[in-house]
Amino acid sequence: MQCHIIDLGLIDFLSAYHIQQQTVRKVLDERIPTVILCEHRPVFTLGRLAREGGSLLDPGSIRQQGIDILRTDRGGDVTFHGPGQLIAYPIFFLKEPLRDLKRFLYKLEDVVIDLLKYFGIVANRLNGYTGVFVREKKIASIGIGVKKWVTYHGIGLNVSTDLSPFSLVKPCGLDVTMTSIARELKADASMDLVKQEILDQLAKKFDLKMMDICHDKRN
Amino acid sequence: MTKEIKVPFLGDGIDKVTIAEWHYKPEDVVSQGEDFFELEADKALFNVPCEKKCILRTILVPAGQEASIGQAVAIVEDL
Repeated sequence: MQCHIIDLGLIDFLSAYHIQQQTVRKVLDERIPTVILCEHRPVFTLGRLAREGGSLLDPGSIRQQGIDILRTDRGGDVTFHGPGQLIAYPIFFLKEPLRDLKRFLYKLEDVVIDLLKYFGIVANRLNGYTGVFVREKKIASIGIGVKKWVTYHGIGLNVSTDLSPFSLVKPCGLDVTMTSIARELKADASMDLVKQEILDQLAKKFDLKMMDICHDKRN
Repeated sequence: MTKEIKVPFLGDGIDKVTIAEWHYKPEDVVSQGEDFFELEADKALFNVPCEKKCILRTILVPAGQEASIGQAVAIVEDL
């Protein structure tokens, strides 16, 4: 099946969220899967059930630094997004046998694990937690929303992200250290190369034929 | 006619969910296709749509509480 690709570049979270919601409606109507790629300007986001006083260690200090804290309609706890983190939003209409949320999340983890293998990084799951880890360090967060079996939100993979803001939270409610591709490689990591590899992996895992990338200039 | 709204099957290995949010309160009319309530399972937030226009009579499991797959979480009256 053909899959649309939209690259939003660097974009604030809410603008990208509105585009996601438009895309969800389009996918519901047309059933053509779409992958949105982007990087967000610095922001902390909380999942639907996250409590600001829970995993955000110092909300006042975060706001003083001019970083927004936004509540959003995905699963999971709190996380940080910023430049250098690749965001991939797979907007897919799930049909059987993929109408199985654990299986879908597992496949997204596989996408990241095999992508990292391409860069020579051995990654794994941590039993009982969704996301991808390098040894005990978290490198990718995964959280989704599902509306009428269309998925939205998705993967946040640290490519060359400034990891210091993660010290202000317990990412996804965990006492874990974060890492990135650049930190693991001890070298610069090309965002363009990571984007291409995540598209290749999504194509393999979900049996998709990726169409040309549409660079959206609305941001 | 009243009927129960139950937690849908979300896949193998998901036995329990948390009710994340109710979009309606008792005595509200809910239209077909509208997002009725949200469930969270693992890292997925699942919107449960209303299958048939109805009045929400009783919420049996409020937001923040757990429910099992197949458990009744609300009572509605079809319109």
